[in-house]
Amino acid sequence: MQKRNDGKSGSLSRRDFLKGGTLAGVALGFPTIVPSSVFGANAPSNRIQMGIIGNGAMGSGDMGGLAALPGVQYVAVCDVERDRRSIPGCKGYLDFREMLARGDLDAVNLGLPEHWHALPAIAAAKAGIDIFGQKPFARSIREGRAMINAIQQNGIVWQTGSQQRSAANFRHACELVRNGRLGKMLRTEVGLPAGIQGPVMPQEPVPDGLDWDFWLGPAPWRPYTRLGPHHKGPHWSWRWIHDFAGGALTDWAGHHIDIAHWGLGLERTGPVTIEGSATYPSDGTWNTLMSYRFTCKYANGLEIVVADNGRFTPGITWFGENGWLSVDRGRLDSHPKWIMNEVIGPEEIRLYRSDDHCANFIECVRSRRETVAPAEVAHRSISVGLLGEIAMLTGRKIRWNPQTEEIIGDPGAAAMLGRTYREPWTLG
Amino acid sequence: MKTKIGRFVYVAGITAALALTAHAAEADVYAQIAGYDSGNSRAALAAFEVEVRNAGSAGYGGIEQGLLRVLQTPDATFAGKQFACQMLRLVGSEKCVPVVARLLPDEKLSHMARVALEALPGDAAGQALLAAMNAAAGNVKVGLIGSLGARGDERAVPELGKLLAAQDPGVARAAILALGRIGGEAAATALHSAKVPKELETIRMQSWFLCLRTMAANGKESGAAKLYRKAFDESTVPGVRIPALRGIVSIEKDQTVPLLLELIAGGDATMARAAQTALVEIPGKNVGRMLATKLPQLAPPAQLAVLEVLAGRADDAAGGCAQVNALAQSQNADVRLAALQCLGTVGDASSVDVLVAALGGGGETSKTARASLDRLHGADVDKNILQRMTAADEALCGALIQSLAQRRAVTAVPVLLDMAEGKDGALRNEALKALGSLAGDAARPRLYGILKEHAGDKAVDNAVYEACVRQSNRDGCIDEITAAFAAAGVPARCAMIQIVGRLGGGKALQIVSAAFDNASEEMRKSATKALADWSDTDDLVALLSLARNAGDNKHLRSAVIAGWLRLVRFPSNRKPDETIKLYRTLLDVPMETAEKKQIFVALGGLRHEDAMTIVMAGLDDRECGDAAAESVLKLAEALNRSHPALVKTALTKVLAVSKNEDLKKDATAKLAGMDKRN
Repeated sequence: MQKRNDGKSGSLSRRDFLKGGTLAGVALGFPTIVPSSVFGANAPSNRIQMGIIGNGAMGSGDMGGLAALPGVQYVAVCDVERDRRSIPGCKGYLDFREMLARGDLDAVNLGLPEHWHALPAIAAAKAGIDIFGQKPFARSIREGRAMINAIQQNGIVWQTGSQQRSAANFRHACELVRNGRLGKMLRTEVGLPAGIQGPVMPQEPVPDGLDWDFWLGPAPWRPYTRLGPHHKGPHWSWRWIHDFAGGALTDWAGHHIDIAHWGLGLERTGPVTIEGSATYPSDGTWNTLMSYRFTCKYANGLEIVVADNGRFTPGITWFGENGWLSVDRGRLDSHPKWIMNEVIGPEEIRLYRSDDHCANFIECVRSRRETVAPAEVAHRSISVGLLGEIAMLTGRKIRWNPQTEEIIGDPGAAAMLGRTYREPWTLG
Repeated sequence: MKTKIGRFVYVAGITAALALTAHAAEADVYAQIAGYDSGNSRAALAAFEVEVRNAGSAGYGGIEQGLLRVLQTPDATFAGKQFACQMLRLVGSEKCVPVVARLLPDEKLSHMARVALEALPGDAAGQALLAAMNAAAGNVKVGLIGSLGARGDERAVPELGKLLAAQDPGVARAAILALGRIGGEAAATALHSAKVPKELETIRMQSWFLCLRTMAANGKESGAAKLYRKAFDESTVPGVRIPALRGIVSIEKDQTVPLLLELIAGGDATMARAAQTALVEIPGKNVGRMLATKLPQLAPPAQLAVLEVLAGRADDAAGGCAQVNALAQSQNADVRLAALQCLGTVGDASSVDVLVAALGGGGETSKTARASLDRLHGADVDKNILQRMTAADEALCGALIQSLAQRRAVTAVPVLLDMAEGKDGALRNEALKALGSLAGDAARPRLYGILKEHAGDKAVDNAVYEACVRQSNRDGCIDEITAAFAAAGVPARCAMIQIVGRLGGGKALQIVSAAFDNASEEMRKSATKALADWSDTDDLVALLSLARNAGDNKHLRSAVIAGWLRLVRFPSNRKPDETIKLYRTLLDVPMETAEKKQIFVALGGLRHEDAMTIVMAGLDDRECGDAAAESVLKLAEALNRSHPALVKTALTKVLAVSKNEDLKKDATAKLAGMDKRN
């Protein structure tokens, strides 16, 4: 599809636009997907060209869902592992900055470890490229805010891979809570998976075809080890290592805390106090939390308690004066039963309806609407997880200002709001 | 800290150190940190982290000193120093700055030194980073610039400003980004006036815009707006024009609607897209009205964009509904579809005719019209839909009934009851479905009447159940339905028993269990099915009492146990210990061997140590021993890591007691596997 330099994109041609571009000055190529306002939603010229950064389990799964939609075409793949840079019809890249600078991408999907969530997203946003990202939104609250700045500044459509927002049972549960079926809210329990202790993984030679230094990126340098016994290379088990991720808590906070927020109407704010405790592995390569429980109090008096599944029912359970309502994947339950069977009327609060998470993103790329799981909402849900992580790592009660996003009166805890990037990577 | 040192040492496996003085043991801990290397056991580090968490900020001073000793140990490993710096981020004070600052120029350790200092409050850390940055080059300098940006310290602005024209593009880029993060007027001035290489120009402008945003937030909105406007007018680069446009919109809000409409109608696709995004986001209901009134004057492509904006804004167009109704009948198929979708948010009762007409359009048109009809706001919408039903064909009428149900249109109930009492098969079923969602106190008696006449009709059964289950007073509803069916025939009372059972609760249990005394075989069968299908997990204890008190009524007891075993596996907020307690109580109930076997099998799926204890006891049961042994083997898989001693005891008992050679063989293999792991 030749849709660039059609004379409608201003006087500077795309070739001029990119000329002289280096990796240091990347993020210049704005896409010019012709909006449906010009030729109609189904016109061939409205095709969306996509790239993928991080072609592992999550990234390729999302790509499968997106590529199956009408009008979506993948043309570029980026991965730090050579064997993952080969997709028919796509040019392969090691460096995401080089891929983003090619100038013909309308959107990307990101399937990266948590320590890599911020930089490619910011670079894509600055290049005017819409983004299907993964939860958790960011590895730290400071990175999340920097991502939002770039996304807002450039008018980017962002979808978070928190697909529970596109499932009818979760939406219905949230609408029931929003419309007061439980009466006055008493508390909300969020049950997430627990973490585990793993083995000590010994140092090994870096596998052929893997750019280990690039994989580490802004995270602290370490010699190569496999990160877990069940997956080859550094894949999957990075989530159990603090330098790269926040364990089961941050893996799932973007799903279940997000839904708890959605039901309570808290998805664009945050708690004011957070306190709790956790246990951590006593040995092994993995060092993220195992069992945990923390309580978040909000300015309006609402309370969300987050704990591992050994303590709480998996999923989200809201307790109100009229009873409780509990939701998880494939499950909706309430006591009394009439609560879950209620219908929401047209004059009541209706939440954003999406029945297909990937399709919702593509629709919004075309219509420029906000997606069902936008950046600010994703940032606020993982902020709860990250603040819980800080409270449990420091062993202290955290006081939080959700407007300024500052920890009050605890410099040691506040130091954990950001991550110090390994050179030459810088945030912004 | 020192009082807990013994635990450190234990975790590290040096039991002899228990006798050491606290000071010597503490020194040992830091020696272990200094000697740690990646790929080895982290036990000492993990124990140290626990101690730091327990120490609280009052204990940080001593820990800081120990960590600094690690950094000054000549032969300390890289990984050990790395760990020390990461811990200093939490426990460090200004006292650590001189030691840590010495690592800032070190290519290998500069990053970790920044980890310790980047977020440390006070002047000393900032000055150390700035001094090191001025003296550094290459990647080390880039990293230090990034840390100064992260600190947001305006005192670094003059030095960073000098780097905007640096020869090294990495350094210049880092300085641009750092100044954007620091923000404020000084950073804005430095960025605004800087001459940077062409490839960094867009990034420079975007960082400058971040500063303007701070400026606007601090009350200087008009000044910021002028600067945004100038950048928007003078630049041809989308990476500059779009952020500038968004800056203007963030300040001037709905005053920018004419500009944004102009961009949408213009020929620049990139800017049209940006304008469309901005229009969706501008706050205020006035925007919807402004856009809707402009619709007739726009060409179809721009109409389509504005309709998408109106649908995306999800606010009403305050008077713009007529224009959207008109476009829902446009000759342009894309515009027509977008208008139909838009009516779901901006439409009112006047949109019913347009949407109902589109329901017959098929495909995407029907689907979109139906979704909008379900969400349409305003008085008289339901009334208008009911009026349209009178002249509608069967397919359309069915769709309208579904929509009324979705809309919770209780005013439709009398009409729906008439239809449910009629003979038209398809529409009658749609009406019954809708009544399940809509029927209230006044309508239920008529539904009971329908049930009496059509007992066994699942559509009727469901409608009555749905109408009842929505009532908050469940017992009151059960009283009502029991009275209504007191004199009904057996088929109707059988249906009533099923419905009452589905409603659940103590009163329902009484009614259903009483049916076992009924002379009618059908009634007893119906009661058995109701108990087997019981769905209220709150009734587990009551069901146990019923089973215990069943006396000679074996049918009742069997039905209760079957239902209980199904129900206990439902998700609930019950704690695992409570579930085990329930199982223990059930096992005290007199029962048949087959029932007891079912219980032992179910316990095998509980993954709980007390479940193992129960099934171990069951191994002695001559009739149920094999079922208990199978569960021991299943639980052994789940518990062998968390409760190895218990699992070994249970497997050993299987070998001693069981007569089943296959089970014994399996137990032997599992024991051998555990020994091998240990």
